[in-house]
Amino acid sequence: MTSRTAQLVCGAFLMTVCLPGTVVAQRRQERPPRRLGSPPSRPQMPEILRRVVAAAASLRIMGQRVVDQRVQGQLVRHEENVLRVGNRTRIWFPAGSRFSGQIIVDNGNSRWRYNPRNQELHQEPSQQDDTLARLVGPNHNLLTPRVQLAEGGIIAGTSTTLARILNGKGQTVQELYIDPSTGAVLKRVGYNGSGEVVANYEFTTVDYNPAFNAADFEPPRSPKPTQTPESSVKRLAVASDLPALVLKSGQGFRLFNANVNKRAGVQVLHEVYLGPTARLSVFIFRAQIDIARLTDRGGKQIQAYSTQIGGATVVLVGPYPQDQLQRLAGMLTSL
Amino acid sequence: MDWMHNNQKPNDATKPSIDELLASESQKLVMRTVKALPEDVPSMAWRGSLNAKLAAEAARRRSRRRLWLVVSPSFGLAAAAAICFAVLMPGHRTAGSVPPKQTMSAQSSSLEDQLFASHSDSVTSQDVVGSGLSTAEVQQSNEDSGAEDTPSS
Repeated sequence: MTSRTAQLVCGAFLMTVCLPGTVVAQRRQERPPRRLGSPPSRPQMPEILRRVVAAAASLRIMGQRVVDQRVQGQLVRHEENVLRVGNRTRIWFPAGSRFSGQIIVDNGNSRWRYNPRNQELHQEPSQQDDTLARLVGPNHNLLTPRVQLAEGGIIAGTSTTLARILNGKGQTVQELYIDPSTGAVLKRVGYNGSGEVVANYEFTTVDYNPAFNAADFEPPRSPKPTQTPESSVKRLAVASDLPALVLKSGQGFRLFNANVNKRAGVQVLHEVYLGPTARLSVFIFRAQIDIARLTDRGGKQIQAYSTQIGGATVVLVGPYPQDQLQRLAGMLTSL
Repeated sequence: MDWMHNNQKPNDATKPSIDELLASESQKLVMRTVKALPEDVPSMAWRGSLNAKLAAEAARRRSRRRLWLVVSPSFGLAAAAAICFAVLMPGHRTAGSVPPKQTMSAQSSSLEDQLFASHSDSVTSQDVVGSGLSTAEVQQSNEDSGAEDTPSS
């Protein structure tokens, strides 16, 4: 073998070894964990998610969980004690927590939150697990583009299966860590479009056979009048010098909650509605907006519509057609 | 010293010639002495060992050369692979491209983008926490109590 031949053989060998190596290195971070279930492209619902949906109505669980939520750009942590029986939930907070004394009761129709500091009792529509509702369509077909299954590790002393829900772009939207024996979701992580964690919870203790009584799910009592989402909108709007606009009832949208935040230096009243298929946001503020930028930003799924009412800019954002958003904007009335 | 003296004056007829000088008894004595010295010829064993050492050295050189022929292209390929890895590795951005953080920052600076982010974040957050405290309630409770947030990250 001549030296030239040796060089060529050696070069070809190293090329075949090194170049696939770079490809592997490039793909390593995006490689999903070992998959246990069905291929992601199939719209059939994996058995583990089917179990979660089936168990939701009868699940009994009590435990403590750690919750992280993004508030003003920062993840803020607190702990909650949770008792859940079917679609009824009671939540209270550990002694020493800054939320200690507050009680939340959700009986499947309404949700109440009592705050002993100001003795206010807030009532709003029941929280529904929209993610699971969006996962399942007719004939138990998955509505989400992709689900990947993997081993989820130990959560609260229990082995879990991780169901990773991906959007059409292949980005992880949510991660569900499921106890396969009960269908309970022991950990849940939600991501935004940039891959940042928006909120997550993780159970640290779990009891699947807790003692409870019917009174646990009765609404808390307060000497003050019960606050509704509408009364909250009125109070927030007055405090922010913004018009108190809400959607007329009978449109299929129920006001869920409201808050005021500064967005890009502008005071914005944000109303959230539970709609027939998804949530709708109504933003009210006093500033000009670039409608073209707003329309471009939405993409195919999330649409936006902007109008002027009472000297304020009103923007509707949600996964609804433009003409429906325009029609809904015409249904906004002052409280 | 006589010889030196004679060389300096070769045309002097009165002096003996060079042949006469070489034929002198003293020169013959020197010649005999030199001839009597033992001849220093390298032994065959020494020559053989030298040849063996040279052959071993040559073999080592050939072996090194073959190894270098094999290894030298791998340096180039390793460098090429390293450059490929550095260029193609996840998260890498060329000098002209905008880092993702800056892109996000620029996007989130507009009111329009922040409205979209508020909508999607509130939906995601509520999906995760369910009946638990909402983001707005956490924020409101903090403001009511004057407590500061406890960042978890």
